[in-house]
Amino acid sequence: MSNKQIRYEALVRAFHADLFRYAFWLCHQRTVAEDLVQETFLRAWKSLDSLQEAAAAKGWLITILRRENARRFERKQFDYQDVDQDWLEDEHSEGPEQTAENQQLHQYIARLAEEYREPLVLQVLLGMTGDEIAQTLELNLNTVNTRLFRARQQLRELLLQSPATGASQHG
Amino acid sequence: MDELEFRRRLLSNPTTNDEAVVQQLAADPDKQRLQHELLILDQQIKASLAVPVPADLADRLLLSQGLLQHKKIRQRRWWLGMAASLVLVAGLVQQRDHLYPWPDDIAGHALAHVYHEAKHLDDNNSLIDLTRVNLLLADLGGELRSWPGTIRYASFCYFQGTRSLHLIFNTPQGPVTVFVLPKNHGLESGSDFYDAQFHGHNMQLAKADLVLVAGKNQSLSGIATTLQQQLQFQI
Repeated sequence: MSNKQIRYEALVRAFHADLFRYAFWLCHQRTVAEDLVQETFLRAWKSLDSLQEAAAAKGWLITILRRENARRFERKQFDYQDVDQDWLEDEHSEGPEQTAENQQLHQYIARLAEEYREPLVLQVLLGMTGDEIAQTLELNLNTVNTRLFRARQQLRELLLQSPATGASQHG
Repeated sequence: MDELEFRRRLLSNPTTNDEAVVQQLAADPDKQRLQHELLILDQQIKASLAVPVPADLADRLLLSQGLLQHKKIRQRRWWLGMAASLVLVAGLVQQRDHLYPWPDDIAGHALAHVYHEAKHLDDNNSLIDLTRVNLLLADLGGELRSWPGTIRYASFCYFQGTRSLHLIFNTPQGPVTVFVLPKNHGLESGSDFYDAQFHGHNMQLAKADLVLVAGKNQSLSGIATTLQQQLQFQI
């Protein structure tokens, strides 16, 4: 097996789950998320030589995936489906381990404006630092921090108002 | 730093190392409670974000890359394939003088491939992992569920026009070559065979034929049993 093949396989194994979840939160449909991840990795294979260091791999893949998602929008702008339809699929896709509380939070996260949700996903799910997020989203650090602050603030407000989870807020 | 700025910094990153934030936290139990609450919220957010990932996604990603690569190689290197075939034919003609007479049968082809592979193996000692082998095997509808030893070589080759998988397994006694042929190969498959250096064994499975070749002093029964147990074909 060639070196390139070995590097590629390691990338797929290490990052496919994170990328799938990130893609899901961009497009809210599992099948589309899977297509996005497929396209991302095929592009990554074609330009694998441009990835110099392993430490940069995650950001590099995320950048490719965002570009693929933007392309999808260009192609799909005339027949983009109704958003409610999207959420329907999303709710059915949850595993049995999802508690009612989690599902509620899931919906609140889905309801956040994309500009707040995306940096939150990158930080909490993918463990990226503020600087990495700023670089990936091509924003300055201050803007990223403000959006992360607002994302958490809104989620806290929604959870505190919600009867299902209000009691579970430990002090 | 005023109260608002403190909240802004803590809510943008509850695990921040920001010195000013850390100092204020140390001095104020209410602020510690807020941090604690935010850390719990982050755990809940993380659990909510972690939607289930399709179980076989990684394998499917590797497979589609493999298919892409395969297509590319076929497009670009047809002339290389042609050259390799010519070399193989020349080798076959040459080796036949040393063989017991098995004209155009599986044994003759298998031995020719084994003699041919020997020239290339010394300078390539890398190991192939099972996932890679299964990517290739999938083309023939097969799967190797697990393998106790290491695998040294996996590539497609042609048995008189039949695309077959050429594998080399390392065993304690030495390397064993295994060819996986789809059922429609049209070659005569006798029983066991041998020449001055190697001996071979034909195995007929329901969905494929296997040819095992090893050095004359090596036993093939162990690996034959393992293959029977671990190699599965889709219906």
